[in-house]
Amino acid sequence: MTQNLLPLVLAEIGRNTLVALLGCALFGAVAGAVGTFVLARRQALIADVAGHASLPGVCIGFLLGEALGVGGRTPWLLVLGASCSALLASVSVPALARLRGVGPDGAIAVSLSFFFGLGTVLLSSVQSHDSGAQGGLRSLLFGSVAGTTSADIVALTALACVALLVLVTFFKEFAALAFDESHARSVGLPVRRLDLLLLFLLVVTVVSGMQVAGIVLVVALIVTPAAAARAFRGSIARIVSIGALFGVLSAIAGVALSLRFEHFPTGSAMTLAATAILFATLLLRIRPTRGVVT
Amino acid sequence: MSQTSDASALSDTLRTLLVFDLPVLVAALMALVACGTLGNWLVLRKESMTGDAIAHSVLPGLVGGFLVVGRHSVVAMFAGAAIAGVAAILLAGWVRRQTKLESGAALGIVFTAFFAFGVAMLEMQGARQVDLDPGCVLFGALETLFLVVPHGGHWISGVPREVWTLTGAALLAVLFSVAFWKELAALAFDREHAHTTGVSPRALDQLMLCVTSVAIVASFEAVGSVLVISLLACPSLIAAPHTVHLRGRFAMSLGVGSLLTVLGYGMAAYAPNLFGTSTALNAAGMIATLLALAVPVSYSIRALLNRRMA
Amino acid sequence: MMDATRGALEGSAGTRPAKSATESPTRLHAPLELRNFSAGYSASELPVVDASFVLERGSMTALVGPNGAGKSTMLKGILGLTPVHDPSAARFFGEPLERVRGKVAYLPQRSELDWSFPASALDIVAMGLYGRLGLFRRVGRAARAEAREALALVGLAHAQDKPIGELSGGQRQRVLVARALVQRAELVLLDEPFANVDEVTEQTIARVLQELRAQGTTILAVHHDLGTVRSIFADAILFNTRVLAHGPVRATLADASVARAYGLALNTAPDTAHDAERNS
Repeated sequence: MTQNLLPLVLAEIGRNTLVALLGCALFGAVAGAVGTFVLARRQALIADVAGHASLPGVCIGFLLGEALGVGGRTPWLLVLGASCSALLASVSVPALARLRGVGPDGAIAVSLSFFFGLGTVLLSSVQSHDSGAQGGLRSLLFGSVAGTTSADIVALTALACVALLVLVTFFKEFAALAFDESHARSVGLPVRRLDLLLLFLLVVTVVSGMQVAGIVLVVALIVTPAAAARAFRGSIARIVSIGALFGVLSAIAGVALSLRFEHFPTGSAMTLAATAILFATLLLRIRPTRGVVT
Repeated sequence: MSQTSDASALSDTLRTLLVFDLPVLVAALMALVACGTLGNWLVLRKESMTGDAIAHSVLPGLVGGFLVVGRHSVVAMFAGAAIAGVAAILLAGWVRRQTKLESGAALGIVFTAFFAFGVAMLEMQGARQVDLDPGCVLFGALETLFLVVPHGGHWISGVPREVWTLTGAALLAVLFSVAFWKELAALAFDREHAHTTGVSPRALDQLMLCVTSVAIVASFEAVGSVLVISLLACPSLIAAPHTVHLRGRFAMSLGVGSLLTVLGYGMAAYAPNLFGTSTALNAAGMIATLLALAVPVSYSIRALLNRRMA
Repeated sequence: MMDATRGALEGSAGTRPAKSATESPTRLHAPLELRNFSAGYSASELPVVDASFVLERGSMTALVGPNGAGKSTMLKGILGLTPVHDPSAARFFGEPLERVRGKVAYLPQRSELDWSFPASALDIVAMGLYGRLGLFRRVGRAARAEAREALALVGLAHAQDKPIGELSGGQRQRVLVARALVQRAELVLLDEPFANVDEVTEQTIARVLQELRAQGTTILAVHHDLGTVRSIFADAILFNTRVLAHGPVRATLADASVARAYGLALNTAPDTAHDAERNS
């Protein structure tokens, strides 16, 4: 059965698309799972900052690639740049929030303004290069599956795997921290270091998805499916897997929609799919699991 | 670019300044006054992210307004944006109650959804009718606001529409702040006490939301969402470590904000010349970056001054 | 009108001008009367259940109970700051709160406020006058003079132009008391006015409250320090989710009933935190 189906599917949508679809599904799963912890640690808006903050890194990666003569769109350079700037931005938020009178809200706004502002300046500088390759950078804003190369998908998959590995390795600790901080402290878990690790995980996830979901909207894939998963009761592992499942569904639906309708940005499609799932679960009114996440 | 008859008499530099730079600077400064004034209240109320949320949420309303009317109309723009903004805030409240999430996360979910919807509308069929580029929504189109004077017309007829809307928004923001100065201050410092003295928090909140939305929508198109977010939060935070009185806070935030705005524009427009390239950098992004950078710098200066005095 | 205001404030050290007879209808009613008053966000979790009591004019009552007993929630509920079961269960001078707002002053917990707010001590005290000034009226010379007198009453005349961020914890508390004073209210509700304050502040606030009371102002204050309650207050309400006792301090705070309110472990000093905030 499967043997007969596979060639049919391949013939219909093409091998590259199938690979891209699988890559997106993997990213969706990781984003949904990581998002559960991100929400529990109240870092939803840091995810937003991390997404936006990958823009200056991407641009620097591009300019660096041009300067080194390896081409602007070298995936590993873009990924490296994006990771650095996104990580810097996410670490800057708690530091800024400690300043008197700034607070968490102000810190998010300042960090976002700085990194995304810098990104737009660098982007305008990249666009003045006559390399022709920079057209693809614009599609990074709202995401595009059609615009990805197979090297991009390899980078996406590799990063998603790294995130998955970290998540599985430290699942116990993240779970303890996310769902009961004081208990985690009392049993001697290094809360600060775990929070940093979670930020790292968040950044890796964001960078993994930036090509397909877009740097502006990638936060939605992390936050929205995870929010929908909170409508369910059950063990932590179950809620995390539901988040992952919703992430996969959103990602696949997004890819399908953006391939079906020309000009429909993949990030927009994924975000709207995730939002539809959230509203569906809320309207079906499975009572929120009280006391699990506060 | 058409030229006025007398502009040709002016030297090239002066003409460039008047025709290209001045309208852009006026627009940016008006956006600073509008967003910076209201941003002071938002920062004092610890609600900087509300501005961010509104800035993203109004997009589908803007596009929808244009699509319905079929052209670029200020009324349609504000009506659509107002509907979208109010819908987003209400929806965020509903999501927060249903999911028991913190308000920031609920806002994040709703504003990304609205923004995604708006971008999709723009990129798909509407993109051709509506004269609004998805990139501009983020980065603004400050550079395009030059004087376009019809042949023989008065220069004032060539002032871009955005400059007028922004000036109106700036006036509204200042009038609102002056008229409700006492109440806004009392509400920002001690909401509950203000309520017991008869100030209605809900009525003033809603008024504030409306005025903020107007300022954001007016700024949005010209300066882009990045600069809107920056203008709402950064000027007030730059002034925070140096001012101990409310009036001083407003004065310093707008004063330093203006300086940085002019500097940022100058850097974007003229700095590339120094490096031998002719293309200008994105002015809105440059101003946003400078303002944001000034926040930690301002706090560091305060720390240095304190150490010297101690 | 401003002269009368001034008279009242100056009079706080001595006599308060007699109220005109036209005001008398509300005078027949108790300043605060609760009838089966319940407050809280949901029916399942009510921090305040069926509270009923009457405060007599000129009485000075401490609301005493352990931490988490719902004392602050009750105060906020009475003032309409938190959801209540039935708003009509609280009557002020025989009327709903909206009609007599000018006669009621509230002093919130100091720790709930952001003291990095850019304002001077005088600015904050003047906020107590905003309700009377009304919309679109600026804080004028007379209002500032009134605020200055209130600051002098709490011993902070010298600090009127100081940014509130530079005041000590006790001074901040006195600023809030002065803000309540300028409201010239007939009923003053205070949430922990003596929490974490220095000796001078404690004595100043106690003196000011006694003077207010001498002029006929009714006072209800949340208080949890059983050590000082007898010396400052005349009456007490022992409270833990419900009203357990109400009457003169000594009788109400007899050991048996206190033990009941605080649970089995009798603790005469439930909160020993002292001036931790002052050093920040």
